Amino acid sequence: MISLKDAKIKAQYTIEKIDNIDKKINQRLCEMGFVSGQKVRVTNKSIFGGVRLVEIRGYTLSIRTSLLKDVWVK
Amino acid sequence: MKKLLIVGNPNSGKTTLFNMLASADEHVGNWHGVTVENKAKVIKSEDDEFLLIDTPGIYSLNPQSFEEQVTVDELSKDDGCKILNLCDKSYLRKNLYLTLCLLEKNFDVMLIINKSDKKNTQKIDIRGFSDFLNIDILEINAEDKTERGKVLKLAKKCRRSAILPYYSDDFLRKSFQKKCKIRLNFVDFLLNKHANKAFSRKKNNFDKIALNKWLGIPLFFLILMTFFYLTFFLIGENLSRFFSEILTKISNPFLSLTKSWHVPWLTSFFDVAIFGGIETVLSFLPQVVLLFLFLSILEDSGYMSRVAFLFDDLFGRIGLSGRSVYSLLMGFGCSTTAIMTSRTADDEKSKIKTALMCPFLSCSAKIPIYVVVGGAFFGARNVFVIMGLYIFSIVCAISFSAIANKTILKSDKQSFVLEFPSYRTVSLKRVIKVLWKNTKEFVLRVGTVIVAVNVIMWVFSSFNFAFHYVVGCDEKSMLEIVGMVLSPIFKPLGFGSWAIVSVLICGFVAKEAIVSTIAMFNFVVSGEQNLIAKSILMPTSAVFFASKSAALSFLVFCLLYTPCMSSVIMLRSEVGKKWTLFSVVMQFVLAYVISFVVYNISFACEVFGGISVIGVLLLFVSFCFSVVFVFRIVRKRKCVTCHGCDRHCKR
Repeated sequence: MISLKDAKIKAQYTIEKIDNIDKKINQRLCEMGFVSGQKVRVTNKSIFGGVRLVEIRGYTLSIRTSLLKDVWVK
Repeated sequence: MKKLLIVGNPNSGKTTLFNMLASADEHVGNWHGVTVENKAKVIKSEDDEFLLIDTPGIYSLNPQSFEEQVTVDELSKDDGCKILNLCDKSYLRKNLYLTLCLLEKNFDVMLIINKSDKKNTQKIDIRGFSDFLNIDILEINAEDKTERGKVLKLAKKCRRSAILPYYSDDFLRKSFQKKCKIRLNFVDFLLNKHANKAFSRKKNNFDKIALNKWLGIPLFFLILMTFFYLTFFLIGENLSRFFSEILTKISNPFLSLTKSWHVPWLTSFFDVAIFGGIETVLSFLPQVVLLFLFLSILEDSGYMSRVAFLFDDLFGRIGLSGRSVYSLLMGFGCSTTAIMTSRTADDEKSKIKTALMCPFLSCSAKIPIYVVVGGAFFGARNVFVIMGLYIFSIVCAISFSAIANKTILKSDKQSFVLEFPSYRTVSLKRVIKVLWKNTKEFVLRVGTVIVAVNVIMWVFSSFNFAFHYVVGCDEKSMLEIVGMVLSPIFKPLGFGSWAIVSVLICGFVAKEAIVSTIAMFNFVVSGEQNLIAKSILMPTSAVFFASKSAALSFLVFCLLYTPCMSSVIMLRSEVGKKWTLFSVVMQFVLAYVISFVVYNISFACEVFGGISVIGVLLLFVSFCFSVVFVFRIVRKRKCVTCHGCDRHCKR
């Protein structure tokens, strides 16, 4: 199990769990589709690596890397 | 009257639907967070009346930002409103989540599936879908006016759905994550059952460059520079000249008629106050309208989200999110509208920061000042001066945010989640609509203000306190006297004449009025930028700049000083009295200090020659650095309890 922030670009992963300390962020991530069992793929990194583009459930989201570190994938 | 609420995910086309149903003309864009407040309009259909309300987009009923809170507040009023839940057909898998949340809460819902993407050929079994959930479902294109009747007819029959199969006491006891998972799985189940295989969007080749680590940001600046060049120089300038020529042709016969009446103040009233004002409006109407057009193309195409992604890294460091890029870009158009868009920020502090940053950016009303004053002194090199001013305004805005982030407005951790819309071609119809709307708005809202200010300033500058017409006499006008009292304040900045001070006072009302007031004081036609430019070089004119340094200092002062009246009013409503006062005072002080520095450095350059001044400055900077360096060493040594902790030690 690795953190999504360390995920390889363009490789597909399956979400295992999310455990962000911030309840609100956790909720938003869940609502956006980040729940266990979903398939995700990181498609782009920004210039300093602070933001990533993540493909999930057929749409693309732009998410700060700091939020992705608590998303655990396989 | 029945209340109809349009609710849906961001960028699903709610405002488009609102415009279609209510024949309104609200601002739309292909990216998220364009609508930031409720918009309501009463509409009639056959024998019924509805109050149609357009709400900002939400993802769920747990709001995370201000504009989401607006919608959720409206929903929680619980006044028996009916909900038009809008979903984008290409994003059903995401949009239906909200639908389920609404159905769980037992609202009267009708589902509208928006076919925004024409290439999407996915087939949905609307009938089965609708029977399964026991709500009405309609598949329409939100822009299509012929669907209006159908929507309103069904809206009357909005009803509560059947209880969702998964919804039970057991479900309610589950954790938030588990609930989400169940809902998402149910969405998948619905779509698998009632829709054929999802339409897969092709990856756009443009994205490969636009989102590239190294090429993305340069590409954005290239696009922006092209737009600016087209707006201000290639198209804008020629159109401005064209308009003012036409107006001169109309006004000349009229003015010669008034001259035949032999009432000097009346002639001057028509010539200077009325026609002068109209000419100013017309001379920069093309530039402002073009700027808004280009901003709307950026927005509509879906490129803005990419830009937000590219800049989020840099903006994250100064405590803002990539979304602020949009507010800041709007700041180049008009600070007032830009301040309003700051609402999309995640938390209160970043909202205030974004709103206070907007007035720093050089708004379009300031362009004529640069063109006229800069043009007179710097000639062909004015392009660099203008570019320098723009860059300087960005630097100021960013430094402000960075400093505020470290001191008074520390942002809490921000979430930054933004969805990416697909690219859309901008239709000609829409371009024409935007052009027309902005022209109308500019002429009505800004144009009337300019003409009014022009007339008022004409009265103040042509009459004395006893209301005698003073032009051509030795007596002093009201404005001259007030300006003279205030002018010593501006002496250190190089422009202490009464006329320039009065010009700056007008500028507080509206920055647009600055050039027209200069023209009025100097008795030249205000549409003729060349004439105004020449007039400020003549020592006999009222508005006269003695040197390049004075002109430069004036430009910098105009760039930074207190935003116009309408921005101040908008700021007050967005961030409150305290921060507005802070902004007004801070900008004035900052403008004063920076102009002072610019004037003195530039003046020294003129007198002593550039190289020696640069030398002295370098010496000064190195002196400052060495002082800081020594200070740090001294502080480090002071810490005796733990060696080598380098001032982090709190003991």
